[in-house]
Amino acid sequence: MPPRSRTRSVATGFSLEGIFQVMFDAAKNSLQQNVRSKWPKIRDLTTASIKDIAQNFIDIKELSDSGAITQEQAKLKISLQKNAFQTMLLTEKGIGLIIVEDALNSALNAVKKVVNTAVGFVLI
Amino acid sequence: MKKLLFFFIVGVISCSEVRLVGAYDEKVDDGIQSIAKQVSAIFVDIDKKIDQQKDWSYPNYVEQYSKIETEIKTLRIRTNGLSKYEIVKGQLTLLDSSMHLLQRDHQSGFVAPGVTDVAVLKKSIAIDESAIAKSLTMMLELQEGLKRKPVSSAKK
Repeated sequence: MPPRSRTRSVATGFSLEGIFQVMFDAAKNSLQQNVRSKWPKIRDLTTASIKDIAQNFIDIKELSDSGAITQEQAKLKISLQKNAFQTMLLTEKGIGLIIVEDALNSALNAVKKVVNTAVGFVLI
Repeated sequence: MKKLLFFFIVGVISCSEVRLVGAYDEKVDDGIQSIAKQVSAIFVDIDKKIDQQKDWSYPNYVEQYSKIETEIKTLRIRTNGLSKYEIVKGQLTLLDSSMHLLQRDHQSGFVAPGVTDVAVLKKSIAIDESAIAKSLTMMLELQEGLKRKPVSSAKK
């Protein structure tokens, strides 16, 4: 009895290698698309925010050194900048997770198609 | 082996989609936008009053600050009931802290006692405004990102 054709499985996509490739390609495409569309906006916004926050730190020091604001006021202003920076990092974290989530779901959707094609009906 | 792989894949995929961050919630987004408008209104009003040499001291804004605090609290309660909302909850905690810091700075007069230079006063206020505006912009940017999912999937 001849060995079962491995090529046939790969052709239909229902082999470990085939499924891995389908999932990997879908995840890769999703990541590439999202990094192209979502990331530049966040990167630009983040860069501008970091510049503004850095400038604010310099301005706070100048105002404090000249005696225009008290030490307590300087501390309040620095805490405000820290909060803004942390909020920015949380947004970056959230957008990063959304991008990863899209990639995972794209991979799962791709393998759904492979399974349904392999069994010949809509199983999942 | 192939059968095992088949059932494993079916099992994994049947567990529906992966969710790492909670679904978009319109009320949270609207709430943040409303807070952004109210905060801007305070800064615009203070700036006008400084130019018109009117009273811009803290007691004139207590009601506005109180309204913003209430909105933040309401949003915090709402997000507590939403699944995978830790990031937004963290941002609301930071915003709440920032509003308290702003109020303390406003109460102190934004500048050291005896400082009368309007340019210095405006610069001091602008530093606070810039930080809070950045926070709110970043929060709204995350809300835009969350819009990838249907509103109906948010746990109300």
